[in-house]
Amino acid sequence: MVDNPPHGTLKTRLIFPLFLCGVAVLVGRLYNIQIQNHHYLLKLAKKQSEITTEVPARRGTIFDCNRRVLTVSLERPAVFADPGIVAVPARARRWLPRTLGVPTAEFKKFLAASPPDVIDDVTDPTLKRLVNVTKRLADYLRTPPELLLRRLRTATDARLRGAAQKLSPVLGIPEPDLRRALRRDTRFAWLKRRVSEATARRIKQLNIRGICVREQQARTAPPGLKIGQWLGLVGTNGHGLEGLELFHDRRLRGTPGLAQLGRDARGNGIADSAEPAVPPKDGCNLYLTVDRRAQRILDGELERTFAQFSPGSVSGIVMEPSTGRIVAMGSAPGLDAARVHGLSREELRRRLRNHPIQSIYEYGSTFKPLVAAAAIDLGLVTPDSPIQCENGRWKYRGRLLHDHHPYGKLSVTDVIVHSSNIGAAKLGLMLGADRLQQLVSFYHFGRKSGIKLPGEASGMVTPARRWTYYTTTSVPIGQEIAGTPLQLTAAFCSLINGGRLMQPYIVEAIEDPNTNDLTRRTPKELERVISPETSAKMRRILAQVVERGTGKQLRNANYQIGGKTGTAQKVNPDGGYSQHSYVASFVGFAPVSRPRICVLVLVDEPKGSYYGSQVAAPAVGRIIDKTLAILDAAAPKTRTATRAFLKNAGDQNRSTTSNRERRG
Amino acid sequence: MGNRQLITGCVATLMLTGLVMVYSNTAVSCGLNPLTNNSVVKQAACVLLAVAAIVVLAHLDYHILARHSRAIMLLTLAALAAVLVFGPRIHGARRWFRAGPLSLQVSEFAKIAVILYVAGFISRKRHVLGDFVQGFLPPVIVLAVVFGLIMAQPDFGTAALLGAVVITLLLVSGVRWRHAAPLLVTAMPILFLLIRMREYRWRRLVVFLNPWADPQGAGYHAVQSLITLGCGGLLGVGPGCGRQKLGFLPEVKTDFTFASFGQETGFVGCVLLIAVFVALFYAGVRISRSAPDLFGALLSLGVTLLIGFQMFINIGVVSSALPTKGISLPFVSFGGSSMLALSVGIGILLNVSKHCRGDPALDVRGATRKEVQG
Repeated sequence: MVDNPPHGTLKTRLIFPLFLCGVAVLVGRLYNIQIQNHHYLLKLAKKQSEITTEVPARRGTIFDCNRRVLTVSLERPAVFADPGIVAVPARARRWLPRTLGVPTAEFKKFLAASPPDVIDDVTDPTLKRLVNVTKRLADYLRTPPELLLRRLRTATDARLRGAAQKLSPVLGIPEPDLRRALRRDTRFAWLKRRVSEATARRIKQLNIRGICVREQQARTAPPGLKIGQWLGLVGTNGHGLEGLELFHDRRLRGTPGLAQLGRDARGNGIADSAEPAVPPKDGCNLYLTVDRRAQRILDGELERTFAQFSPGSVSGIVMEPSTGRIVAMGSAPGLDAARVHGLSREELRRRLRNHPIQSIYEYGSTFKPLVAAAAIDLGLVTPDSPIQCENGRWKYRGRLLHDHHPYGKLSVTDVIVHSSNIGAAKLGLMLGADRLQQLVSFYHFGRKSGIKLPGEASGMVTPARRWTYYTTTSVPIGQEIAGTPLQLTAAFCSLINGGRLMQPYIVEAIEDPNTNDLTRRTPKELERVISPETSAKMRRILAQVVERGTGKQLRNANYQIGGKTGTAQKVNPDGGYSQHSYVASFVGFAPVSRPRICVLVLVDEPKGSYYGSQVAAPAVGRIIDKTLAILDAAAPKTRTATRAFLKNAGDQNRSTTSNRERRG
Repeated sequence: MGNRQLITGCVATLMLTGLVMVYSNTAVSCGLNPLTNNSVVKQAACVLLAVAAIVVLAHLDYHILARHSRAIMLLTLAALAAVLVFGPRIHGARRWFRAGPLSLQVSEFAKIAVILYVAGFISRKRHVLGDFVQGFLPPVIVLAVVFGLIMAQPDFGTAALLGAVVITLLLVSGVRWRHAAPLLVTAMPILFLLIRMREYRWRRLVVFLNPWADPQGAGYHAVQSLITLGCGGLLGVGPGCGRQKLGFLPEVKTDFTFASFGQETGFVGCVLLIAVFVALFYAGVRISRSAPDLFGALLSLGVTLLIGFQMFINIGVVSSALPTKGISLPFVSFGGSSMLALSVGIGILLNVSKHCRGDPALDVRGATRKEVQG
């Protein structure tokens, strides 16, 4: 440094050292802030600049027994709006004075005289903010705000109409509806969910302020499957509303994860700043007992029957007798799980009713085999024991019983084959009230089957204290006892599977995708209702029904079918039995020696014909034919894979599929 | 390294740092593309203009300025008065002349003008400086008028900065302490009154003592600034990665840009940036000492002090070592007027150094002394 300046009067020697001292203080201060208090201040910063958001878990997929998808959650574009900004431009510094008819210079003066938040409102405007600015401006100009506000409203309405006009054809929503949605006083409104990729692209191309597209999980089912009744629905909030989606909702839903998201001072998230936090736990996958192909067959036949007889409803169940697995289930009019949107609320409610488990019917003649089986099992009769059928008219304790055709003496087999009411009533009397009551409870009538679907009905059984002499003759012919189609199918299966009442079930396995744990369900035997020998006798008797009795028209089916018809008069609301409304049903199984499927079709109030043999039996025959055909032709690969996957759980029955029994 | 290279290097470093920080601070609000980012383009234009100003003034003999220093002062006074009348009110203050997108903050140029005037005055009246009436009073009166005009805008920070620079210049050049001391003593209550006069100044002062008492209100600036700096730690979060600038830290582009810089480059970056200022200050003082005449010495010292003090106050405010005042960081903060005015100062500094005995290009004595010292 120069020591001897020519103008030696300046005393600058101390300046630089003093400055250095000052700088040292600054550096010390910075050290204190940045190093010593780093962690504390960082925590404060994170607290104000990070938001924790939920990362949605993927809802579990529901598969059929061959690992084919029944419903799955897919990311689909959804269009939403920020109604607060649709009606205003991105920057309003020029737009606002022009709109309000205020000179720009005047407006600038107003801005200069206003606090900074007004400028903020103008540079990042929302409708609400501009209304406030306009009010302040009116205040500043000392004019009443009504005129300016009206001008603002006219202009924003025009912008809104323009947006609605452009959006309407793309989204397929009528303009007035769109305008209503966009005028709402919120910052978020869904316009349309589950739009196609093409629509999403077009929306993005339109580039309307405040209209955005976001990927959202949407429940998707293969179209054409009428499984909505038991599969159920998922609400817009991602919660199950009906059916399996409701019953297994908590498992399907999974646990959402957490993400730390950076945000700016306005609370807007910073897109690419997501930090690893708690990952979401995806929902469990369900593997059902249902076979998608069998379901399609059932759907088709139910719809066909529905169209033919225009009844109130048609219920159908396909069950595996040895295990209680539901192979297919449904009722017409059905609910296509892929086409739920667009149905009216009433229509949706009507179609959502899962008749097979939620509606109860008096069964009529389909109940008779249960009584016969009990009588045979107890050794009271043999299939060949003669029963006096009184030529079609028999008065018991003042009540007249009729048969459709007059018969004299019939064997027990023939009582079932020809569906004699008098014969069945006499079998009931042989058993007596106590044993009939035992029988009813043995087959779990009046109790829920426990299929694990919401809204299952338990049925109506005459309690012991109201049991009369009539009841003893009514129950054997399927009166004074009512239950669901599912209960009847399960009971019928026990007659033909060796006497074991199996609990019906629809969920084969639940898989946790996070741990790959597989929880398998094994068939559950509820009761042993009859001996295997009696069961074999019953199969032969029921085969005779098709061979030469009320189910004759199924004689020529591809498979040897056994079954029982039912034609029940419905109970009038004011008491007594109706002469007009019937419940026609047929429950059948095949092949007779080793039944692989048991099918019930129940038609509620058919028009035209009402006999079970004419209304329900043909449908059952076709269902059995087609279903067994596809089960026989099943690609062994898929089935092997499935079986390996399910680790052979409770699958012993499936192995019997090789012992096919076909009729030439 | 020669003084001129040092100064050029320091100023270039600061300007580029400022440009990067302006981009970093406005990328989110004004646009990611620097070519369309309003603030970046504006700042880049200011840098070009500032470089032009440096080049021009480096080649303009500073003695010409000495001759016109009183005229320049009068012009400045007129401009300061005019801005109070014609300037638009922005955020409640009249500090700017506006013409379309351009705006000029008069007080920034007033700083240089005052330094010119004081340097001219002292060099002319160096023999009577010890006299109260002739040597001390005139510059103090002129200063008081300027001070008053700037306070009327109001721009308390600039006034205080200017006061500090002028007092230092006077003291260094031989004004007697007993003349200055009463002024300082009387200035204290006036200062206190001025602070009490405006509620916000008093609040700032009180809050400065404990900003955490009201972190959402009066202490907001200080607290956010501390949080921003504190996030940086040793090495910072990386350029552009700071989050405090996203609306949490007010005035991040201008007065609080150092906080954002501290967050993104950490303690190391802060110390390096301060080191650049220290080097600049060091070179300035060296030029002042080796200036061929008193005017040049005072002029260069004034400019050096102005830049040094401004840096000191700005970083002091940002780190809450001083109460909040609107003072920008030289060459780094966004803003054309400050950059241009200080560049004029740097140009003068460079021109003075051209005439220096210490300049090896002009003077052999410096070289011989180096040899002797070596």
